[in-house]
Amino acid sequence: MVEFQVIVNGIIEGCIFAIIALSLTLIWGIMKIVNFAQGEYLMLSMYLAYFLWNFFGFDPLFSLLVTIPVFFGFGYLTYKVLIRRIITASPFSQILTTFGLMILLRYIAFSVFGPNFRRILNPIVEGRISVSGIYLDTAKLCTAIACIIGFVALTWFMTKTKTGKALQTTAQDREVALSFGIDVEKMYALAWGVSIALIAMAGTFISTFRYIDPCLGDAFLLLAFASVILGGLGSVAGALLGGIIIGLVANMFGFFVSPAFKIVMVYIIFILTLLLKPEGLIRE
Amino acid sequence: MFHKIQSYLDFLPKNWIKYLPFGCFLIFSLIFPLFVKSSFHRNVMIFIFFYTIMAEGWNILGGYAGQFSVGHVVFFGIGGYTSSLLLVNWGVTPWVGIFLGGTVAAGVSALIGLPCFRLREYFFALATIGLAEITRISFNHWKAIGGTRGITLPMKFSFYNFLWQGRLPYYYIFLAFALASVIVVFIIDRSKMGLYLKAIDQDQDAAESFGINIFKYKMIAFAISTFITGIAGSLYAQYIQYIDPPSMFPFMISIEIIIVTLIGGKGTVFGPLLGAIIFIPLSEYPRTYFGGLAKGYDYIITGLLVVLLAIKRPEGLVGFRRG
Amino acid sequence: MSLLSINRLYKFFDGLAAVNGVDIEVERNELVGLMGPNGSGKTTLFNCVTGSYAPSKGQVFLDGEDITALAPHVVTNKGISRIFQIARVFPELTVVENVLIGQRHSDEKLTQVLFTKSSAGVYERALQLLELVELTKLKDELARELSHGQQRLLTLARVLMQNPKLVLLDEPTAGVNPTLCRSIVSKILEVIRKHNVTFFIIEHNMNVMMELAQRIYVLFNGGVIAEGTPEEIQRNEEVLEVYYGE
Repeated sequence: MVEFQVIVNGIIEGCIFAIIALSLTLIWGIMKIVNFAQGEYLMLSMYLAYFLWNFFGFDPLFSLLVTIPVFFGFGYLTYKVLIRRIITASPFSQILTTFGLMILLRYIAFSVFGPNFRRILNPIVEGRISVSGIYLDTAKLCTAIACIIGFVALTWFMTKTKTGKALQTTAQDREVALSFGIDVEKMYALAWGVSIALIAMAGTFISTFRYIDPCLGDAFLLLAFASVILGGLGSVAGALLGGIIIGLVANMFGFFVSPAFKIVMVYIIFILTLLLKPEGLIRE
Repeated sequence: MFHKIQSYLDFLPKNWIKYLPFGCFLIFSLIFPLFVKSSFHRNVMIFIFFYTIMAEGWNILGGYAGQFSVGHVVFFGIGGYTSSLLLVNWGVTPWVGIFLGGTVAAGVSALIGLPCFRLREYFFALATIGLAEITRISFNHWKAIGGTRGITLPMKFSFYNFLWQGRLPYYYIFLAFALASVIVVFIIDRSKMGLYLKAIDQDQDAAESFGINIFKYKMIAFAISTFITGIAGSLYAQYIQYIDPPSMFPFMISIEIIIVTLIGGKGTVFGPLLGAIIFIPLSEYPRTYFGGLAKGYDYIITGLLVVLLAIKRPEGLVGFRRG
Repeated sequence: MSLLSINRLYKFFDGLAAVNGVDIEVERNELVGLMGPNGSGKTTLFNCVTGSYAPSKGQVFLDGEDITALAPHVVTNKGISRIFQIARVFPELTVVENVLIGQRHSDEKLTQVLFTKSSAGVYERALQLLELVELTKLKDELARELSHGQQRLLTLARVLMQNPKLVLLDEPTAGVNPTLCRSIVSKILEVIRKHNVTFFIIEHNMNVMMELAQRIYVLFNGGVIAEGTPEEIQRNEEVLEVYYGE
């Protein structure tokens, strides 16, 4: 049945938005900053995966071993070099900084890589499988599964490990965390590292089925934003829920109404959420 | 009666030395075309005037009232489309169309302001981005007004049509509008309303507890701000003589307006002007001199500027100087 | 008829009663005190009066007029002003501009607002008030340059600019050194003598209350547990227990 196909596609895509939403919510939850440049990190991680494939023949699945650590470092570095200077600044300065970062990263990519689309060919995970009449693109499916694993891994990390709990405490109350002897600076840097690492994981997988260009950050960021606001800023479960709902909405509208209005619909939901229920569906 | 005159006089600046740099720039602009004939350089000046208009407009809402709109390009586009449609379809002279464009933009702002002003900081900014994108996509699909094909203005150069062959008339007209926009902000800055807006920006709750109707003043600021931005859009349409959604609703303009205002200093009269003077040459000259090699170099500079500004000096170069 | 009448006021947050059935009357030209341990609901009560919160149940009357749940700026225009515990001056406005914020807003036309800095006579009145609080010399300084104590005095002048019928004062002497404390107290008394203002004050300092208040209400867990003159309150056993017993 066609409807099921659309719904399944929606859920699969939704998981992908969800993981990006999760990375956003992680940073917001810990230090109340919205990173407008998140989409650019995604784009850059995809370029890395591409070049690892192009020059060394690494399949993205193996590139994971490289991209995740590299981007963890990238995120950590971003914090140390840039973000830590605006932690205490006004929201206005913070918005400005991450916006500037977005422009900077995007156009550096633009100048260095050029505007042409790239594509990784014949990744291991390509293909399609059929489950009772419903076609699943294997690459997307693996991505979605990886995202779910990412969620589980992060939740386990946050609740079961000492560092994770320290992160949670820092998120709740910076002063309290300090009084417990938690190195708050390190927690913030760690949060950035983890967040960008998650992005890199998502990006590496996405590169198996999507073309790569310098401007892709836009599309994903918007959808991730919508997911995160809908689900509730700061809530892990909310990111997942929000992502899936947005994925479903986008696919259903794209199919039943028109592809162009798919994006408009997402924006409309986004704005409605901001107006009617800015805390989102799930509160942290 | 005497008191009334007194309070109007209160208005005039007490120390005029502060205005000297501005006066110099004004004189410089007036005589510039006499010495510089190259249309490239004249174009740069025209863009400085342009961005001054838009930045001063944004400044009223974002700098004075503290409502950070990141989707201001919407009003730019609406203004441009309104005046162009009026000209192409009904032959309405842009001299009128420009102000109608501004009015329509202000009208739309009322619709947006109504629900959105309760949102704070980040959320308002996000909402304006969303609205800007919705508008751009909608215009892309709106066949009745050209959709992606756009609208071409008739090549009939005349005063009535607000179309000229050379740049010179545009130069002086835009200069006049830029001057007007600075004057508007000047008036607001020195008025009671300016005082209230600054109070709202600094401490909204306290301002409200003093009886200031936050909503009313934000709406007024929004309306004036978008009126000016709409006019800028119309002027732009008349200048490039062809409009389509990508040229009338480019996202980067929203950002650039903000950058320009911030470089100079938001919430000040001359900040946006100063910002335009600094920013435009910085982005226009490299773009041409680096040629095809440096795609996006100008934006890299932009990005770098923004980041540095945000970290080092968020109040801008003019800062909180009371001009 | 009382100036301020709070009738059976309740305010719930997520099921918890911050204000639990409070009845308070404040007469004209009185200075009434509101006391109670932290968390007893004093500030919430003030918020309900000014319209920052809408009460869950009950009503607030000003001079016989029902002002329950009206928007804060409307309540202000009706004659209730408030001074916050932490002096909230507008940091980037000058001292005199801060006072000018207090001018009457309800009947301003657009042209007036756009083209004049201040209506006739308003500027002079602002200067008068600055003299009252002895800040005249600093009138063109940015408010953020002022010392803490000076900022407090500024908020007093600012509020008086509004010609309020009733002023709600939220712990005016909290965290303030004794000299400044005296100064603030004497200024308040002077204001009461010269201007026709009624005060409703939250204050912990018993000495200050004794000097200023004619009547005191004591709040505990959202409800009024005692009411009377300062002497009566000082001797009231329930009050003593609430403050010192735990």
